[in-house]
Amino acid sequence: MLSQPQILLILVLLPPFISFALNALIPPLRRNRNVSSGLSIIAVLISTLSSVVLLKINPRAEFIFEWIPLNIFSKIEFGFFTDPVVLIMFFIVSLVSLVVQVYSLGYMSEESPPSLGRYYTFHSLFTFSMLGFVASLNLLQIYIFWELVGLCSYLLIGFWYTRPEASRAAVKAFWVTRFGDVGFAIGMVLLWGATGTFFLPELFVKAPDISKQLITVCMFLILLGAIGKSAQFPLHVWLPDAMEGPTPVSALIHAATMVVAGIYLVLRLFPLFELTPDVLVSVLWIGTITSLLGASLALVQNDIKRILAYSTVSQIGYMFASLGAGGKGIAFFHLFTHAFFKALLFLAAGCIIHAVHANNIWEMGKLSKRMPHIAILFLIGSLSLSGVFPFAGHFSKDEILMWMHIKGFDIHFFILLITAFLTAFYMFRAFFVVFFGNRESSQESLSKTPWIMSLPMWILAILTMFAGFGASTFFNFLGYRLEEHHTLLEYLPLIVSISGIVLAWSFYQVGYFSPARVYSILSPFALALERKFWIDDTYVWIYRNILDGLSSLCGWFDRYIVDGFVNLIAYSAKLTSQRLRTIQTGRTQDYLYGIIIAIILFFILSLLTPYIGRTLTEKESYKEIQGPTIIRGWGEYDN
Amino acid sequence: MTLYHILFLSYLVFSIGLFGVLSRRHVVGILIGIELMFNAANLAIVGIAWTMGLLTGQIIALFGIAITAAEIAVGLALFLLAERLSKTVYADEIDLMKG
Repeated sequence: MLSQPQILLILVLLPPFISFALNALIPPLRRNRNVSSGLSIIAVLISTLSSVVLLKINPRAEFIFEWIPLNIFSKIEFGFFTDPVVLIMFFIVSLVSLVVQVYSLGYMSEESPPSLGRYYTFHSLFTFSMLGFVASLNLLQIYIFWELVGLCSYLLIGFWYTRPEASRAAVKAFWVTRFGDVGFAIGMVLLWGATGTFFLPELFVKAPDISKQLITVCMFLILLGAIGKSAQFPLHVWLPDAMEGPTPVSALIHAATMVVAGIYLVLRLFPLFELTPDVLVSVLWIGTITSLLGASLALVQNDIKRILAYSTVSQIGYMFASLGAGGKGIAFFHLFTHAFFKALLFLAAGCIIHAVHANNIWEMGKLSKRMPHIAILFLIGSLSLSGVFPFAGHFSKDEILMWMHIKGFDIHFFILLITAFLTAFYMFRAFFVVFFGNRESSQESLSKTPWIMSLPMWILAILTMFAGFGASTFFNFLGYRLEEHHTLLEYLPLIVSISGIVLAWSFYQVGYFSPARVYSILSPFALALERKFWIDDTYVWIYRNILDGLSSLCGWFDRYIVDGFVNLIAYSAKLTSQRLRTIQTGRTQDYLYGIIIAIILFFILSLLTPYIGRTLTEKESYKEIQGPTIIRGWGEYDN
Repeated sequence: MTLYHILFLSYLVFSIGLFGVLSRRHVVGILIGIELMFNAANLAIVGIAWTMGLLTGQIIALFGIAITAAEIAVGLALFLLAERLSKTVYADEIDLMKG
């Protein structure tokens, strides 16, 4: 029988799937606004409550079943399990999904009922696949859920599929992440080829016996998948474009599901990554470069959602860097805090966009008076993201920077410190421009934020304010020991962040410096930022010239060689049958000619064939014709 | 009169009938040709049996004639239907069997 933790595990995983299945398979449910959203929200509520209960009892539960009974090499067992990391991920994923789904009731209220039903159907599947991904025990199973997560993000980014930008962004997201996933698939299969198992505990035991080169190649390929999913350099290009989706979807993708999956994969496979220091170093470098890249690109963005998107790229870079430096508990802690404040920021931005009907920060201005509520929420989120005490982001970012310093990664420490400064600067650039900007936007009163949208944000805001103090509890729960460190450097990140905020204030609020002048002084650099360091352009060039050329070559081969061969056969058959069909006139007499010619032919044939043509022997004649006379020369008989 | 003469006659009549079937355009002409071929066959059967001193041949021929009568009745009915469908009595203009 199932034990209690197993039941709870199923209660976390199954409700979103049931909600998805009901909504997907029964159209009347989907077409009803209240039923579809209600089902989805109740399902994710059950998941959230179960995950909270699970967090409280903290069990080690497993639920394993045989998937493919292969007797030849090894059977493939799928399974779900819980450990502290999984439990915390359950909590993050289900809570953020719940919050986002409730918020969507208000945000998506203008959608037509079938469209809203579709939205909630995708949301349920998204939550289910992420929860399943988190608890998977088998690499193959991880891959399946991984792709499901990718599919759902594709569907939700392209939710407003009638808008060409949205569908293009969805395709881009899918395409770029698929590029990484190809690496993941190859690496996974190579690993299986070497160890003969996909089952994670077995894999961890067998992996150290594999040759060094092979496992390095495997882990590098798997890392490629994680880079694509988590939008790390050089595959980060899809994430800013993914802003075409509805804002709650962005919140979900950035905080708890899609981009976090890459971090989680590295975290889950950390015993394997530990075997390959080379790959870990590349993780460290990729994370560091991405964090700086994301932060610097966020400096010149004017779209509020894009600023947040680049900040996600940057923060995920922090997590990658921390993983690469071996601080997996700290990376996970940053993931934990980031989930709340990033979701909060996106939801707040969604409220603003919902009210102002614009994405450009320069079109907003002076919103602090008209939306004080949102301003406070956005401020909490921004302070947390910038790493200001006492908000959650401060603690986790501080830990990462300190870890870098203690472990002697001084270059990375320095780069990440600059990133922290830039982060504070661009967040408060957005904050000051949006809420205190000079632009006198129209005086008409903005639509009031309904409680169904503000309640979820306050939940996140409270978590953002207090989650940081739970750091020691968090690390105890995970079983990691937090290293004590007391240096003066401890205050450096905070100082850097505050100076970033002050700089943004002096630029955009009081106007000590003119942004335009700084912009013109730094114009080559600014141009590089505007063009996103030409990374997108490079991809477009590669796509246009190399890939298009290659595919047109393949197309030519297919069209003229492969198809040509097939067409030739078809054409010859056609020609033959065209000739042959003239015989069939439909006139009786022509057929009779045919019959008669055939008979004559058979007659000639019978004369030529020895047996039929020979005359009967005497004995045979007696046997076959029992008449009074025997035919022996027909003319001889005389009547 | 030998069997030789009888079979020669039978062959002659059969050939005339075959020629009629193949060359006549009018459907009734074809039916007449078929009838001639039948009769040639009957003649051959009767002739052979007669030369062997058997009555079996004549009995078979009687059956043959009966079957022929039925055959021709069916043939005429088919012809009438075909005529009604294609509005012609000429066999080379009726191509209902064309696939």
